[in-house]
Amino acid sequence: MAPLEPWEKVLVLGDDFYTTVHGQIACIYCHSGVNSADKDTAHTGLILDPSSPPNRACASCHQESEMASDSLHGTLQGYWTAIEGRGGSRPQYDAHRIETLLATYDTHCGTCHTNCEECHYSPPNSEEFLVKEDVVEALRAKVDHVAEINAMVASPEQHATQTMFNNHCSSCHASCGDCHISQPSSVGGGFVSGHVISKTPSMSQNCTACHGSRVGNEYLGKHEEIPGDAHFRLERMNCVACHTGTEMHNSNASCTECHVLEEGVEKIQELNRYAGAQTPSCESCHPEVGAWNDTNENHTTHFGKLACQVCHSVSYTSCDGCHVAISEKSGQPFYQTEGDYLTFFIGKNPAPNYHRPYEYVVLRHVPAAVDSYSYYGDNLLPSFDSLPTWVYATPHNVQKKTPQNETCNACHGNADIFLTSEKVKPEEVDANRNVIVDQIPGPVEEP
Amino acid sequence: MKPFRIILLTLSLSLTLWACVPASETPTPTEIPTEVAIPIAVKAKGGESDECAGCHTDKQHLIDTAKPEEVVETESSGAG
Repeated sequence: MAPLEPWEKVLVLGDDFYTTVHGQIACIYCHSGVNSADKDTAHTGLILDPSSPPNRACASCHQESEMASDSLHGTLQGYWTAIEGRGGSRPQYDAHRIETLLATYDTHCGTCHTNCEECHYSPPNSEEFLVKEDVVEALRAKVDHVAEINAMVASPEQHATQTMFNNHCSSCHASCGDCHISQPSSVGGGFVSGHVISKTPSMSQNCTACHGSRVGNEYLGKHEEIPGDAHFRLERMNCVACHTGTEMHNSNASCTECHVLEEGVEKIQELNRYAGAQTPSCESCHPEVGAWNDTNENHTTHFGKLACQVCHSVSYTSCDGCHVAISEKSGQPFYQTEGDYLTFFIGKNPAPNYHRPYEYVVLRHVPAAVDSYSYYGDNLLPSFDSLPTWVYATPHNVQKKTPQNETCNACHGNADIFLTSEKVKPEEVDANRNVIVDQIPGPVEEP
Repeated sequence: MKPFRIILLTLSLSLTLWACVPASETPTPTEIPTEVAIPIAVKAKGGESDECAGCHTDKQHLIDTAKPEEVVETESSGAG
């Protein structure tokens, strides 16, 4: 995607924008700044993206946008799920708040106690004012505010991880405007349609601007000799055809159709993006698959045991060894991945659950490495092996006919397409034990 | 005594009729609608020109006044 010229990024198409509802709102209502013909004056106090948190602009009318701040695009919880799953952690409390608490403790504790003499005394013939250690100890045994505050202070590792996150991961944060007005800032920003607020984001300038290297390339068929996803090739379906606004704006919507919030459904997304209901699910559009009257024997035999992609996706991108750092030359954050390549591997489902009971799923190698964040500190992922590096994937290159579903034995007995231990780097075998296929399904008699 | 009875009867009748008159409607407290902040209310006042729009819809003006962006060569490599 070619970057926009600086002027192009901020050119409002008046005829298009000012006839819309949003075009009736004064610019400075959302963007602040000053209504002045002088550029510098006009830009004083300007808010470039009013939809960034705290998002007073959109949320004042669009209540659903308040929910969007809890969505994965807003919280980027997915990063923390992976980081914390490998033993990394972040400060639980804001550093400024801790400093305030400590300062308050030093200066205001007296207001919580009845009198100075409760804890202090002056020895006879002395002007010294000493602490009654035993009394203080007894009080602390009841409520130790200092210990409480100290427990809130982050470790150096937590600070380092948070700094890494802020420098690198957080650039993927998407505000309302990043989907409905402009290209995401991570690809340079700029209006998509002259500031017209589009209900449906542009697939190329919004969705795949961020989700390009894997999902975008697979879906659009940008890998040589690998066709794009059938939903795109044949039906020209765009991203929102499956990934609706409800999913984008409220991650819990699918949960709360069946569960009450008291069940802790808001925590499901913190577990794993594959922990909750499938949104979207293939069956929501293909309800006949696996149904009692499904005449496709492959479906009735494998339904519920194999994820749909096991039979219906083709080679997709895997990556190795992403490392992040700050450039000594430019001072800018950057990343380097050791390599990316096309793979297709069937493996064990790492966490079967009610919504995904499958025994087999397809696996993609993610670029996590034990030293991915070593620029920021040592051993920031102390439990690296707790999560696999070959992860449950849902490639976006679905085909009706694939090499592995040509015949039964294109899959059964075909060791090439199963993730067996010899295909895993020796240093990653422990991390992937629960997804490695020890014994591949043997050949069967073709019907 | 008769005029007294007539007066008494008239008064009783008046009282009865008065009691039958529908009571004047007691105003019941109605919920005062909460005023919702409508952004359109902050639309530029009539006659006041929107300087932001004046500049940001003028392509040539934007080209003339755009600060050249410093091109920073990214050192990132590989699939992001």
